[in-house]
Amino acid sequence: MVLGLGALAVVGRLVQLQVVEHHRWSAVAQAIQEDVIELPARRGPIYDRNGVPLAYDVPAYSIALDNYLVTKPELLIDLLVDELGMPRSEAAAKVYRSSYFTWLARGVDYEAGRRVQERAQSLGIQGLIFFDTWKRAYPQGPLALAVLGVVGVDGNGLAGVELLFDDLLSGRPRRVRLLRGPSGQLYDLWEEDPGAAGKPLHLTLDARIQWVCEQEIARGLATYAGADRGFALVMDPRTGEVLALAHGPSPDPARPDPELLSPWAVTHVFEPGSMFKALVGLAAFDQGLVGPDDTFSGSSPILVGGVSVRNARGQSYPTMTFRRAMADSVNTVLVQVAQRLGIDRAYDYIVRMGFGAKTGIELPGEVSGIVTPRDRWTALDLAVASFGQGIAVTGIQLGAAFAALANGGSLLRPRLVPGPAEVRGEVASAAACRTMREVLGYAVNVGLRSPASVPGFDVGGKTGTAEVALPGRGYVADHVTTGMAAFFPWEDPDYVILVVYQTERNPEFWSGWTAVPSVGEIVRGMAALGIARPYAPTTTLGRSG
Amino acid sequence: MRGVRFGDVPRAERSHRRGGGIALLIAVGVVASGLVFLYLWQGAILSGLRAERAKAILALAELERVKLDLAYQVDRAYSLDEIARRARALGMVPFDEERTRYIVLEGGGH
Repeated sequence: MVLGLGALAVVGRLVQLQVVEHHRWSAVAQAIQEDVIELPARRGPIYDRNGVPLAYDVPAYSIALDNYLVTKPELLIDLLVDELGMPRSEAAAKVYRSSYFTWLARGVDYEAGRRVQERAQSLGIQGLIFFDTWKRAYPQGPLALAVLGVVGVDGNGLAGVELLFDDLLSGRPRRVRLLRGPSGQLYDLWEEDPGAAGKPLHLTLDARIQWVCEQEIARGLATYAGADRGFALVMDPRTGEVLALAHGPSPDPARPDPELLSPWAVTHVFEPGSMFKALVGLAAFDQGLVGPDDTFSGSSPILVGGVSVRNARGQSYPTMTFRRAMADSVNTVLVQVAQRLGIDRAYDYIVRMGFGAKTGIELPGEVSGIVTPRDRWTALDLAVASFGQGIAVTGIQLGAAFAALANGGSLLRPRLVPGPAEVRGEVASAAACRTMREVLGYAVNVGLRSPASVPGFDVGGKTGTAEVALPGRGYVADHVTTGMAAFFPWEDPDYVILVVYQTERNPEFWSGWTAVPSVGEIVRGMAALGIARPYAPTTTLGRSG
Repeated sequence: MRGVRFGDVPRAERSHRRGGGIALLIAVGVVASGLVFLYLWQGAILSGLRAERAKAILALAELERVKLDLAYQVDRAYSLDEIARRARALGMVPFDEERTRYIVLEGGGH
């Protein structure tokens, strides 16, 4: 009877625990035995046009500390100083903080994280919490970093294509549930959500050309007196694809300076100076108003609306052909050409060439440039626009316009992501474009034999030097933009190159000593890496037999 | 006179039947215990294998991470930057027209 009652009590209690309070005790057991870990998704990699990886995620650790469980804090401080290079004061502040959770370091390199883990274990340091995570790595170093942008510690794109394509590159985290025994031993593991890695992104950039351009911009900034910043853009004029967009100074991928991460060829404007003459001349050719061998007076200054317009250094020239005027970059001749065009037609061509509107390149922060509204144009605006002043353009706009000149007149959307060419409009006839390319080929190879002339490659192009206008100060002598827009081979160009430098401290900063040799070096670099082949088969790399 | 009722079973036979029932019960018990033992035994083995599998999955994930880290180091070592740096360390210099000297061979060519 007693036994029976006892058995009944036991059974009753079992029913209470296992049936009536099942959910409650099941939850308690789950909390003790089960552990859910969320493994962050691996962000999609970014490749160049040939599949060369430019950025991808590598394993890393985020290390935290439970300050109430920590043992041997002094040894831990030594460890953080040794392995993570953390300043001793910072390490001490973190270790002696009163908190259940303190981030010690995030995005720690895999090997460094392993070493910290092993040393902490061997030293008997407790309280450290290690999280498996990912870290963005740049196998090519800082290559194209201003285009790629960066990601934050939480894996979100903060700039560049990382920001613009964040949805594509981000994945979904993987959730894994672990079943553990009372002493922490693992009993089972199952995947609650397999997650999904981010999708890869392929760019039109060619890592080799990008490298050549970055090397050259870095060399230029180190060599040209006063050079503060520069960029080089290389485009395929037939497709509008951007093959390289190099900015200098180059940011450090470990500690990127936000200022240097801005692709200023897209996000900032500058006055193009004499590079713009090629486009004004193209409009005049297209309208049949000027021929390359038409003659003009090169005297300086000339009066426009009561204002003197001068050539560079005030130099006067004798009567000269348009071809020669382009080679010598004579402002007063281009003023006469622009006057033949008139305000309406000049403005129409400027708009058709894409100035004053975003190009649509896949980079955040693109600006439209500044073109004075048509109804406010005066004769003086027309005159100064003929040599690229009073108008502000972005590097990518200028590159796209020269790509149109190179491909026979089609203005294409510059693109960083491969796809079919997108025509935005026709800017001039193929014949006018060819004539202007021949004139610019003459300017580089015959007229000046400039440092951009690389035998065998038939480079054509136009240089430009423009003072920079500052708010409230007007044009400032020691703030200068220099550039060269070029293409090769000029007859049927495969490449368009635009190089721009800026200084804020050198009034004697000229394109002939800065951008022009850089264009030559980029062509030579592309040849040295076997990307560009000599156009004339009898010569190679600037040497002739 | 003792009457014999229809259906009565002689004692010896009854005892024999009882013995048979107990044997059957024992046999069923043995089989049931065996099955329970097998269930528990196999369950334990299964749990052990599950634990091993879980450890293997975690080890595999760790090895994947090691592999990715090594792949990064290889990519980094083959980057143009690194190759250029090593080439310079080995005394190689970029082509420079001004520093290039051509040897004129007999017969005219360089």
